[in-house]
Amino acid sequence: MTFATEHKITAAKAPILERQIRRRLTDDPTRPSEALDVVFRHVPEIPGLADLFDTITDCFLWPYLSFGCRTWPEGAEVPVSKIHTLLEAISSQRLDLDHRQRNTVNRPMIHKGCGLIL
Amino acid sequence: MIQVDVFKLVIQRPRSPHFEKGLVNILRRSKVDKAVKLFALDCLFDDISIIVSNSLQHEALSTLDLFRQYSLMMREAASEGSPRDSPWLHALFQFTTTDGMHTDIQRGIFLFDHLQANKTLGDAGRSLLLGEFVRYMKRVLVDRLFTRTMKEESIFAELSFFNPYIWSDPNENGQRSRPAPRQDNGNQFRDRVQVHLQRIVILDTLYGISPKDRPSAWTKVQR
Repeated sequence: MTFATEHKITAAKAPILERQIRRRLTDDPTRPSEALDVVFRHVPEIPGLADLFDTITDCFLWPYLSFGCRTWPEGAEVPVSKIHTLLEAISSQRLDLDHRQRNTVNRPMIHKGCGLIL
Repeated sequence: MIQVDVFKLVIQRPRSPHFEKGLVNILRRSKVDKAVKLFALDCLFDDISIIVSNSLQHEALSTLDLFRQYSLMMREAASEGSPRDSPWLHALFQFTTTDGMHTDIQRGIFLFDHLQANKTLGDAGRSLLLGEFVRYMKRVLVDRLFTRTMKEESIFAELSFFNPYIWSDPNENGQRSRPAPRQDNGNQFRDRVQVHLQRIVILDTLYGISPKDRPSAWTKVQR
């Protein structure tokens, strides 16, 4: 029950945050580092950071790590340490989510005369 | 979400000794976004000899299968008639079309550096006519595919476990015995056939590229 409610809140918050980040980048594309700070501010309260990953990839990863690039550019506006922190945060949230999903027991429903319905 | 793992591996410094194995695992087991997949495959095949040198027979076979996928995707990217309409190419090459006629290439990206090194980008800076941009992008991709396929071919041709006429184990005196046909079991035979077919498909992909898109250096090699 709690998990379901949390999930609904996450689902509602994620697009708002996504819009906020995108707007920040559109308004001032020269300061992606500040947009990333917005993401970091919401990491503890939004467990569905993974849902934002497409936006994060578009805004923070592809511009610096496109085809043929192998290292994070030294002069990039977003320092590589921030990117490491971001990717770690997403990974740990994903692991946490996987763990919670594994621990969610689906009670099998029995339908009269038809046996087991999954 | 698997994309996170790809980017984490690529930007990690110092590079993990399990970098190649990690990428292979991700690419073999997960469904990855198209742009990220080509990005990851391109990183993986920076030096194919590293991946193959310490591999077991089945791992080498799996690497070859990934190389086949890589060559198909490179050809697809190079053959894309209208890259500005392909979101995955936009993401991968980070270009923007300004007025429908010109393409802006971002400073610091691979294509920009490549064109600047070859003095293709003139005083006008980083803006190119769309047609020019498409031509250069094709050239870069086809060149890269050609070089890498040739390298892959020579490495796989020398791999003893797929060639029954190369016997690499030393004899009792520590000397290498003469090359002689090896006794195969069923699995080895099947693997050899598979490798042979994969190599044909990879070469076919390369030579399937339209002659007008081939670099002039390549045409000279073929003569």
